Amino acid sequence: MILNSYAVLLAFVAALRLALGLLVIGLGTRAWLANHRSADPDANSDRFYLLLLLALLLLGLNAASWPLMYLLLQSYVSEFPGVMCIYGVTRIGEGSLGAARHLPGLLTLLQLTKPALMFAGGAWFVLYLLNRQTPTSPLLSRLFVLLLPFGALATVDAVAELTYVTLPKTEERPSSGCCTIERDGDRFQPVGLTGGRAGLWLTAGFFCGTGALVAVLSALSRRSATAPGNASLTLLCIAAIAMTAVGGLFLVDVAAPTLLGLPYHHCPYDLLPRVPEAVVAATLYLVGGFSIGWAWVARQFGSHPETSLLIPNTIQSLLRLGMWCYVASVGMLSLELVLAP
Amino acid sequence: MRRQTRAALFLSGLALVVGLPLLGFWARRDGPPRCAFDGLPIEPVYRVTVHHDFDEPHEFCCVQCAERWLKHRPRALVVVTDEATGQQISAMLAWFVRSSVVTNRVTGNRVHVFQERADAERHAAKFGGDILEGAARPLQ
Repeated sequence: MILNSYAVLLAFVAALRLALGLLVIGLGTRAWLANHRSADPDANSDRFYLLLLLALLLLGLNAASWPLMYLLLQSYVSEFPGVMCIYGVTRIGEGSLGAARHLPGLLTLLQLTKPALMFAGGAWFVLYLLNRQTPTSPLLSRLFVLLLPFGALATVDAVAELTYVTLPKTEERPSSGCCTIERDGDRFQPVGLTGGRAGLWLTAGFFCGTGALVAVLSALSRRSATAPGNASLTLLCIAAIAMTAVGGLFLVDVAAPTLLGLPYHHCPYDLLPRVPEAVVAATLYLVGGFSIGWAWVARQFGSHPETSLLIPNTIQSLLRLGMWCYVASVGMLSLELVLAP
Repeated sequence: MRRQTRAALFLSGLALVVGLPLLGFWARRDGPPRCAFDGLPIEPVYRVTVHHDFDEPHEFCCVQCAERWLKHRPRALVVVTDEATGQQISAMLAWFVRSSVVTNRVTGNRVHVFQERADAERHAAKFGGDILEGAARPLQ
């Protein structure tokens, strides 16, 4: 266990999130049952404010824990010989015999649950805002149901984070025999995902694909246009997922080496300490994709006679947010690539 | 949303999109030289410079990083630094010693460069190393 200020702060936030996650699951189940049994929808609404406030607090803490995790990993870089960036820290424990062998798996899990939590929290918040605009809160029951997976995901994430912080980081390796090849030097070197051969295709795919997505979003979010239906939103979601994958490949194989001025060093983590404004661009791109997903969630789970007039406006606002996020992200990234060393 | 609010939002967004990259570029413009392979700071006494035709020279923090670079772009003229005097010499004329002394904790490089054979032998004897000759010579 490596104890520094980031580890203490992250452990504290994770402990809070664990407690809140469990509270949200427990109170959410009780509230859902109470709401289900009660004939009068207004009868229990006052009791639910605490739960909704807890959920909002959990949402905020989840958002804070994401950058905190990377700050912790950055603070660990100097602790391990041979490690030069966060990528190296993510490989610590690989091939180890002791408890440290779980470290890479835990980090992989955390790097998947963090964005999933942000998406789930944002989707829940969109429905919460939609529900607040109605006179009788018809989405309350759905909000409670959605709190259960959100709370469960936050709990899993917090437990994984606490485990990562507390696990010993000392590697126990089998003694090298005549047949063991020492590859420690290469273990911490980040390599490209496409072998460096698809750079041109990735660049073209990223800019053309995002441009096409922005054009579609612009057309669909125009105030004079009608809000897209289920099928259009589902297709848009698939396109956003595909573009997020292309964006990830582009970031690792093209953008990070160019922005860092290191053509054979494919490490997006290095952008955090060296080109932090690129992280803003990447975050905006992710929020753009999330906005499309949230619009889909609003369409799928927000339907009710009372919200029928609100949903089209909400969906168009989210699509507009997505479009501007994509435009800002690509604009920033283009300028950064032009200015890169 | 009022027209003025929208205009203010648009201008703030534009300032963010244009201002942040420019600010980052300005903040990094006078940074110390960094290794072209892994971005680590370069200590002058271990500096290796690789000159390719029709390209700017690339600087490296150690022999190991320069060797890894040359695996990707092999044809080059390599200039190394004599650890004893700090002088720049061609890699063809240098003596290389692999010893127990690590020049860079991150890369784990143990290869040392000397202009004179006597300096190389002295380092090898003092720190338990070997002079690298023939096929074992790096940067060839």
